[in-house]
Amino acid sequence: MSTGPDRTGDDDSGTFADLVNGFALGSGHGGHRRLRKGREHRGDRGEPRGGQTPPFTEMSHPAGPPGTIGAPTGEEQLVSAEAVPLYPAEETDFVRPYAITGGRTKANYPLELETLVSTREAAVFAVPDQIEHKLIMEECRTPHSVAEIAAALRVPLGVARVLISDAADAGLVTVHKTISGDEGAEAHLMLMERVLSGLRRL
Amino acid sequence: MDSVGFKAPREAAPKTMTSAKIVVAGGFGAGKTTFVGSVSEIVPLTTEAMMTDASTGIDDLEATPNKATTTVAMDFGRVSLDEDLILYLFGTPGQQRFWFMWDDLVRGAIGAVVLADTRRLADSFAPVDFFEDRGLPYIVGVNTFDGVLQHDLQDVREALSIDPSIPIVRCDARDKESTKQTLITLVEYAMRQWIALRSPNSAAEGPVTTS
Repeated sequence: MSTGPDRTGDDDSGTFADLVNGFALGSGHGGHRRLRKGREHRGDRGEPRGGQTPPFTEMSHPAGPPGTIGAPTGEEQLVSAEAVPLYPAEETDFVRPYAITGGRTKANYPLELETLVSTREAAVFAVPDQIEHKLIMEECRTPHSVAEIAAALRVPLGVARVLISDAADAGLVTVHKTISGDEGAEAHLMLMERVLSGLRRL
Repeated sequence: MDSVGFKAPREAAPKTMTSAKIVVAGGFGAGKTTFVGSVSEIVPLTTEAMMTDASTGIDDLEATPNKATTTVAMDFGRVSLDEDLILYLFGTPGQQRFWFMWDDLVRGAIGAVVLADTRRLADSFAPVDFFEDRGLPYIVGVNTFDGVLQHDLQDVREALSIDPSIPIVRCDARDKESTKQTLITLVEYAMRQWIALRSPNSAAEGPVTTS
């Protein structure tokens, strides 16, 4: 009789301790995994923010000694407290510039700063899906340069290049040929001559 | 777009337009924007650029850690020279860290005007080095603030240690006529250099040789 309750008592205490330990370890692991995930995520963004790394190293310390019931909950709070301000702050502050282009950075046309773009007559009544394309079409009713379009749309040049390239692919605008120094030496010299006489007439 | 056939055939191709580009460089406050604005038919516009890791530790972003773009002072203006010819003047970004934009700027450019402020001549070293390195024809315009030329042009040439063949002119960035003359000097020089470089027997004339 006496052994029975003892055993059960041992068992009880054992299972309870296991339970507690298991809980602590389990959540400890969970915490670690979450931390690691958080770190990888950070890496993907490619923008290590100096100020935010220290909290992570501090947080990994309380996770070290398992068994204390208070630690897991405290850790969870720390993780969530860390995670909460990060995303809203990044997303509400502004839209990342290349989000408009779906992350693409390449243009299909050689678009220099001074390359002229004009809206195709045939496409004047077209209704583009993307608001940026509409803006480009409005801007380019008279020929405008890539730099002017970027300034009008208030986007970085790289973003403007992709948007213009898409608009050209969709047949909305024409990209005029740009005379650069590398190709066609004669053309470049002729361009300089024209610029010179144009300046003299000014 | 399929409806084109239904309409009377429009002009097959729109009139081809041509553009040219001249770079205006110089240190902060050398008068780049004034120079561009004096001939431009539009108020000089500004493009933005991405601010990336390259600016970490350079830009003071303590107050705005989530700001990822900054307005770059790359002003540019536009001059219609003919019905189908537009000249763009691009001022270089003042901040050195936007060097990556300089590649875009010089590609295909006719040449560059380096505006020098004789009170801060050292600011002209970086643009001069860059254009010499890229083989872009450039001239130096000494901006005469308040119409006063502080230094002899020859002294400026020596201070910048540039080749005697490279024109140095005095200019008043506020004055359209002066800016026009400076640009004419640049284009004439660029053409001379272009021809000299491409004619087989006069390679020695080429002033590009950087010693």
